[in-house]
Amino acid sequence: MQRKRFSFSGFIPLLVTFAFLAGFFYPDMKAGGVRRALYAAQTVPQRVSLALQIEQDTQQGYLWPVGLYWDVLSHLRNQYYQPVNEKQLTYAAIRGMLAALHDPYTRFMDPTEYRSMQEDTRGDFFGIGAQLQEKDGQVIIYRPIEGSPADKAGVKAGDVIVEVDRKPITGMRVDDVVKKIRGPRGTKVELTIRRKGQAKLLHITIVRDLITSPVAYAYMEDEKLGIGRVRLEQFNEKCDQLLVQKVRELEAKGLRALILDLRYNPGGLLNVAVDVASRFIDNGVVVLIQEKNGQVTKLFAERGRALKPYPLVVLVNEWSASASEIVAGAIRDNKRGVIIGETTFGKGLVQTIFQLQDNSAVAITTAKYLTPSGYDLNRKVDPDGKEIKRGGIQPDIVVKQSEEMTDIDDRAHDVQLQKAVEYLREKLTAPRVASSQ
Amino acid sequence: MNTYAPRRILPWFVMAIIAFGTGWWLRQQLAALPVATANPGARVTSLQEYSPKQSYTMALAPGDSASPVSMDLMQLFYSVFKYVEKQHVDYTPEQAKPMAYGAVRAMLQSLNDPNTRFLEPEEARLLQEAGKGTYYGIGAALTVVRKVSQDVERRELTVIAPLPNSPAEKAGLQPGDVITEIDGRWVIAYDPFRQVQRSGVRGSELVKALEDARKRVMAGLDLRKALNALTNKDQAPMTLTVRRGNATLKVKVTPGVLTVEPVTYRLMPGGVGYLRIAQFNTQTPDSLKRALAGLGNNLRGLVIDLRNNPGGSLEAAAQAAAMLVKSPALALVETRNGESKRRQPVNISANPRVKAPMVVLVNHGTANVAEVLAVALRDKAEAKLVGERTFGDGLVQTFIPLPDGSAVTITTGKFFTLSGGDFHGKGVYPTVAAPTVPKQGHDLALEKAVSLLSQQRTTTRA
Repeated sequence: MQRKRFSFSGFIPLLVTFAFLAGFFYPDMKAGGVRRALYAAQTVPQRVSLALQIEQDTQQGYLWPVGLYWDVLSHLRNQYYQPVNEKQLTYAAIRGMLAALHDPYTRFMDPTEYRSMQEDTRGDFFGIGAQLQEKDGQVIIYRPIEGSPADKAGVKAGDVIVEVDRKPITGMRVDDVVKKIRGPRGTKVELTIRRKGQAKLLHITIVRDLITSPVAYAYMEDEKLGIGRVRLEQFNEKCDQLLVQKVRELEAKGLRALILDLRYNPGGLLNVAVDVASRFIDNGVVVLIQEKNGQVTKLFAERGRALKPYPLVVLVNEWSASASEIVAGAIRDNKRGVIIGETTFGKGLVQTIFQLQDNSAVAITTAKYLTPSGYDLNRKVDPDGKEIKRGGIQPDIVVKQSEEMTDIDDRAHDVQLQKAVEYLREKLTAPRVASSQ
Repeated sequence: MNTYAPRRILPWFVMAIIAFGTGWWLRQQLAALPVATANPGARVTSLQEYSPKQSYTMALAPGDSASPVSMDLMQLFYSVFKYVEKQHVDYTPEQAKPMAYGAVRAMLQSLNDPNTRFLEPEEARLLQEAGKGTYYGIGAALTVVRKVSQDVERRELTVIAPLPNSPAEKAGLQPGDVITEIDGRWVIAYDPFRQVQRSGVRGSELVKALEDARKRVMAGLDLRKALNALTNKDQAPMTLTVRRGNATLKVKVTPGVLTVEPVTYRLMPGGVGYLRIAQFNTQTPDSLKRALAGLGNNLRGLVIDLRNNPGGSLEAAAQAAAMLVKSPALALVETRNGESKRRQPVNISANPRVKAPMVVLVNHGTANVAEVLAVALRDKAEAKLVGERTFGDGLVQTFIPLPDGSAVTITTGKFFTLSGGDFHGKGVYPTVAAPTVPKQGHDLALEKAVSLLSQQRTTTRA
């Protein structure tokens, strides 16, 4: 009997606690059964911690966006005369909040957009093999990947996409256009394209295929003098290794001066940019990374990786962005080479992607790139979309591209390349003249 | 033990019940807090108390008013803001406010309802002033009318009514006028890109059309900027381009400050009283009471002029109705109740002071609660409606102030007449049609009203 009484009184407080919890979660049970009640019970710690966190923030001042958002959402939920979709309202609110930062790279991706972005970075997707870029409200082919379906079908860099499958895409965001272009392997997509210097719109049909990561290309521009060119399409993981491989190929043909062609290169990974710059800069700073608190981190060239110090020209144009601009800026500021072409795009911001609870994500600009001399190369626009600061890397020798150039391999009209070759020819021949005097 | 146990268990059993009750009660307290009391009443007047803490308590209490999904959404929004605050390279605390405004504005815009919008503190102040009868700028009640034609959505900035003696009235603006340009700048009424898409032009024409569309948007004024320009008293004289029917005209307006006298009256020959209600603001009920006293008890007929009355506060209209019509309710308001809708009457404590027959003058500038009152007078006081079809704005907006002085107006319901009629988007048709714009000094509608009242008198006598 003693034993029984003991266990019984130990059971009682449990029963009381259980009764309390049952009472607390009764509304959930009524609304959605045991499952809902269990879910509600499970999330209590999470809720309490969130509430405490918000409470703490509130004490430091009114928590503007969160408070206002929550107020208005509550009013809509309770009072709006038609049922509202709270999730869509929240997504809209998040987009509106981020838009107020006037930073086009800080953006929200709903679960579908985020998944599509992940496929992008992994590289295994079915598409046409062209990178797209938005500029001034238009969607432009940044650069068709060499050998890709887009390239074979004759799509060229700078082409403006007007329609996809005969449906206009004006006003759409790049992400949405990309979604329309992608599809199952072997299917067809038709692009309507406006090309510089052509009055008529072009209709190009492309068969979707597996797109593999782009590579580096080597060309011998002047065999007699040994002027070679390596073109990098973007900065992905293989890029640095391929650069070395291409330079070795050119060295086998008697390389004496090098052109690094970064035109139409939209950038890529930061560490790859540092690796590539280290091939040209033996000792020095490649890039400064300025963080939120103003703290500046210097990234140095990795010693002992540099190639032979060939006379160097870097070719850039207005589509050279991000990592390309880092490399060009590093070479310029370290006085390692000469920049030829047009002022670059002006994207000197680092984004970090944060995945959110419901598999959506937010990309936030977390740092800025400065060139070693401290130049902030980012292009700035005001809230109305007007340019405040051009940004970008200004070339040492500005050469506008010829209107007649049709393709990146159209050397007859590539006046930027011609200028680069001419510059290196002088450089290679000048010392001889000097010594003979 | 059998006899012993119940006595031992009973206190615990009672405690368990109390515990259950406490849990349930606590939960109710938590859940009850954030539910704003729905006030399906006043357009532009229902002010609600605000206390920021009540909102956050919701996170603790999942339930009918705050489903678990909502908590997740709160957390989602909160995380994004925190990431920006902690990580964004250019974030400064000054950006919190524009971000909050941007969030709420975009959220309300996504509902695609031109009357549900966010008001920055200055805009909110102007709207509240207007509710008290003080107007800044051109002095006209304006609205955004949404139309969809050929898949292109248009949002037209439309004059409901110019207020009496306002710059807008002096400039000759009329109800239904669509303001298309302000000082030559296009008031962006639709997405021109979409229109180009639908127009079906191809080739170089398409290229040209898209270029033009881009230039138009860059040079244009969005609705918010346009509204701000028209409600700014310090604005220099401006030229408005107005579409009236199929005609386009230019109107020059000099903005200023205007205080509207809500009710004016006079006694006309033959013992007929004339009563004009210009709008329903906080002053209207008192003003109406004085006017009715001034007209006396021996009226042979009463003309109530609701022309160019854009509406206003439902509370004011309800109080006005109580003095004019013997009816337990003014109208029905349909609100949402969860997933379903419910209609509730707007009750009034009727104590009509007018015994004489009435005629109501209406026109295209008679809108919202003014339309509601006109219908109530027609259906419950046998008043004839003279003039032309009314504006047709039957949505109930509630003005909700937010703690920093900004506000939102949201559509919270829809008016129905007591017999269940829906006039939104259609307007109310007059019993007797008459032109309402005076011609050669003759107010034909008023003359028609007076002659109807004398006919009625004759018939009664016969």
